[in-house]
Amino acid sequence: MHTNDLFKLDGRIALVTGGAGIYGIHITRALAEMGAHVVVASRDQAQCEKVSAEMREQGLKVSAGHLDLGSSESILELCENIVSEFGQVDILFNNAVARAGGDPSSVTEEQWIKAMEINSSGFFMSSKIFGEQMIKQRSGVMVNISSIYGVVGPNFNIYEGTDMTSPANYAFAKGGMINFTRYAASYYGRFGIRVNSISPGGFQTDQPDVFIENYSKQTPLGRMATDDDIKGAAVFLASDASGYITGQNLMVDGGWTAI
Amino acid sequence: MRLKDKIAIVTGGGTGIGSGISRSLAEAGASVLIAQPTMEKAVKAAEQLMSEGHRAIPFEVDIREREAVRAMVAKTIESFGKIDILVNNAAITGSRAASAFLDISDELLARTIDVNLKGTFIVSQEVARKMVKDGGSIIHISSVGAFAAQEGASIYCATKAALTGLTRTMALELASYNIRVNAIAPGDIETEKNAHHADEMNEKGIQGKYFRRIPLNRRGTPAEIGPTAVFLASGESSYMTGETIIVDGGFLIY
Repeated sequence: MHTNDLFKLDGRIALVTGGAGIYGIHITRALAEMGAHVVVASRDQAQCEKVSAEMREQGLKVSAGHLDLGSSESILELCENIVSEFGQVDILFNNAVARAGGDPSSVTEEQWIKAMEINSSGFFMSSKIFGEQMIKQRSGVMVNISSIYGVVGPNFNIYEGTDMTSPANYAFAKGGMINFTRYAASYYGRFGIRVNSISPGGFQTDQPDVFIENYSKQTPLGRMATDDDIKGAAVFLASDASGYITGQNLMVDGGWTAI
Repeated sequence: MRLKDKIAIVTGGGTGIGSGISRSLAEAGASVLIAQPTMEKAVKAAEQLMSEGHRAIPFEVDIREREAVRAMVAKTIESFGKIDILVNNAAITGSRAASAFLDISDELLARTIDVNLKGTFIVSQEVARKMVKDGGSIIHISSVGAFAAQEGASIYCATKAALTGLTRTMALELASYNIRVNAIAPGDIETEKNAHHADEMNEKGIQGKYFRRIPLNRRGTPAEIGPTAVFLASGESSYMTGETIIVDGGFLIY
């Protein structure tokens, strides 16, 4: 196949969990811009409807669904809805995350359990349920959105002068996600299904200036990630351009983990 | 076209994995200088790409020799005006690099280090000295051997592991010049030269008892490495530096 065609996603059906959120929206846009029909789903269906309507106005194929990762019935229902409407699910982005709780001094047991319900059980059940569909198809791609904090521990110095912290559960969930990615790649490989993860560095939103400065100083590329930085990696791993890549964790971190 | 108007050098770009990389870069719009230790193979690969309407020029170079590398850099700039992309693919590899650890000769030791590490370093340094002006993307071709033992490949694996450190440190030092540095670690990729890999290794006394079925259950092709090089060469990987992308069909998972 011609190299440029390998990156195209025309005719593919994709689901991005949390695909209308501040991070997921860029993944959604990237996949849709390359030709996929993207379903964005979360508990906040109104937000999903709003984002998908905006993107449809721009000529992209995006629609909204409802998903509560705390309920396997909800995951199953979404999967059945997508299959009945489109006949297949080619691409799954496990992007949704519960950022509940703070560092060990502040997080409560209740918050921890609540976060695990989404980040562990919800993530696993999403992989399992959509994996079953992909096994039927004998094809599919899963991409799990992890983090640099699934690979290295947080540097708490960068939070100095802010009231921010790095949630303990985040490290636990994202680290587990990376090794589950390897497990899933090994398990689903025989069915022609590829499973990879992306570990982005810090994404610039509305953090305090001092944090952005602290973070940027510790990053070889000298800045936090911006809107477009995730798009290429998302398309690459979702498309046939990465046809021989499975079980890999792609660092998209400006060099954070290189140093 | 992802790499429209971009200029690339691919060492070892005329054969094996390198030819797949040259082809993918060219298809994505880049002009490619194909460097080989012998002119014949470089010419053949360049002519093939040109016959399909791509821009390619052949060049003969021994990457161990700094003056020869400088001539390659000068030729690229003379022909195309600049260098945006460097793929350090040339290496002593496969059965040519294979020998039991206890039997490795000084000659094989020196040759493997000189091509795989010193040559990669010299080419990177000479090209980066030009790239500091307008930025660029440097891609080292590593190997799964950088991360896992391979029977009869001790010095090969050591040179590939060395590229991991070189990738990270070059990424750090060159970031302020807008030069990104990453690596690709291919798994078992079938080329003309290694189509009978297992037999040749057996002849060298390597049993192959650790050869195994991988999750995707097939060897890869050079055409499956090229698109990863396109990704790393393009703005689509704008926030990636110091990283090694493993393209191995799941080889390293277990």
